[in-house]
Amino acid sequence: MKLEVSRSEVLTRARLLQLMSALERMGGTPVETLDLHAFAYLSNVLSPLWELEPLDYSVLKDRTKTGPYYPALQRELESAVGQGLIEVVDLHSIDTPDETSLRATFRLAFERARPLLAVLDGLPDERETSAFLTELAGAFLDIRDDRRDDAAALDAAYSDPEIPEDRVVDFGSEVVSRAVNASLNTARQLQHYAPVGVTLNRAERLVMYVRLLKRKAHG
Amino acid sequence: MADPSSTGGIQISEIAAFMAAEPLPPTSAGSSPSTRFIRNVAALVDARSGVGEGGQFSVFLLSEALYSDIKTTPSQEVPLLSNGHDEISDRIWITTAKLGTAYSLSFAWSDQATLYEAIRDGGLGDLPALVVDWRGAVPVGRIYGLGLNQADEQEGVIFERTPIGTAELRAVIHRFWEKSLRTPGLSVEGHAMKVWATATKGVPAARPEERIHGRLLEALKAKFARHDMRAEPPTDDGRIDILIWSVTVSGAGEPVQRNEWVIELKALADRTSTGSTVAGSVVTHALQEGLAQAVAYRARVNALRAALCCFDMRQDDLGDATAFKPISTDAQASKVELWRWYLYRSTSAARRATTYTIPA
Repeated sequence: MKLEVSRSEVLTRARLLQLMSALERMGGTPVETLDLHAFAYLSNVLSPLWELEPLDYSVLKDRTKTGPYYPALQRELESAVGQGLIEVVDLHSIDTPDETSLRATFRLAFERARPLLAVLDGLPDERETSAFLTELAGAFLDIRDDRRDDAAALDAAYSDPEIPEDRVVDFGSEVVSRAVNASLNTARQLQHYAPVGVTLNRAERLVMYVRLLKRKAHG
Repeated sequence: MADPSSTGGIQISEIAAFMAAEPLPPTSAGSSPSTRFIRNVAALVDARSGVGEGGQFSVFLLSEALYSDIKTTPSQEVPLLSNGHDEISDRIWITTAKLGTAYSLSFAWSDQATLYEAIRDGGLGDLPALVVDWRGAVPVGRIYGLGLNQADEQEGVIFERTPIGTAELRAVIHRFWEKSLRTPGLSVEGHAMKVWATATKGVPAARPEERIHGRLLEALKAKFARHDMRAEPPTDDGRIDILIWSVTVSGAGEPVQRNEWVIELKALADRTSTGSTVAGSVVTHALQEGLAQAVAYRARVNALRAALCCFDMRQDDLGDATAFKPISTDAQASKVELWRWYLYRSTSAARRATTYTIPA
């Protein structure tokens, strides 16, 4: 049987492995499903800070989720588990008065994923992506593990009061003309308040922006 | 239409309040996982040293896939190691760059030789290893960047906050040149940024100083693991290429920033990045400007010392005395160190310039 795989699925799978690899490298696994989506979202919305192409330029502000969530990424995560590239570390149910839901944590199956990551790291454009994701993972993991999805939900673009629930947060796709990336604008604004004589480089802007989200999420 | 400068759900007042509370980025921003690892271990060693810990050795192994690396190795998890409350000497640790969690490995060893052997025999000889020697008055470190299986590839790591000496700093920059800049091949190794556009024609890449900046800063951060430093990109007001400082305690017991070194970098080239010829007077002007900047910035930030580091990319290696002749008197009077390293245009040119003694 021949399986048809779209270009978009391949790109999503590749980015999923890169995201997991960056988290693994910085000691951020096992990672919970929603935290992985939060990390993926921040990697998309902040990519332009490093002049990188995001994998997705938009995300649905889904009222049923506590933060950013990508159905396509979730499908690839489940598929990668099936193929043994990602391991489920823990699976447990959460009971609330309204519902019972399953929560899982994941880590990279490094031995199986290593050859694919080696190919990705060998691509000239992806070296920069790897450095960007490692930097982002370092900052993201400084946020308390029970507040990481909250931090992504408090991101400038995602929490924009102009965008109601169940509408798309668009930060640069061609679907919405002149889309604005409020997160990028905020990260750039940090320079205006930096001490005299200090010019923030792109890594510093990235880290400072995530620290701002951390401050908001920690309350 | 949406405001193109909108900051969405974050108010400008929140940005201002955040920057007032946390105005400076962490030194680790932009550092490689390896440098973060060294600096995090150094902070831990400092903390443990401060409570009187001693012993023989500690080894910290850097893993990029922690669970995979410890799967078949007897070990004990120590998730709060970075808090500094656990004894770290006379143990072998495996951890990640952030020191988020760590495992103490149950390998048997009794001295240096059996320590290294145990790690190699345990299949972990390819992991970067930071060895801490606790036997002296102060702990000293040695990083094996390619692991103990390639033990020749090693660098010292300084855990102390004492001011960095002139010879010490010069030696680190010399080693950086030797490993990363001396020949065109070295400058592109390890995904590093190229400083040459076409080395054989003497054409530098655009803004070579900026390319050298980041990489030199990384080398300095890894060596002087308890010092802070940052490189400033150009601004309209000028820049300090690299400022190195340490945090010390004032007479009143308050933490104070002691600015130790202002380092100005200059790439001296006889071609522009587009291949046009650069006149000798332009190089002389660059040297004078570099010296003036070093003097001015040292005064501005009240730093202890200043150095002008020149990376000479010109056709001929003129030697220090000739290359620095236009500024040497002024530099001596203003107590600015003048250091120069020559970048060969090919490996064969570097080989020809090296004097080898053939044993009889």
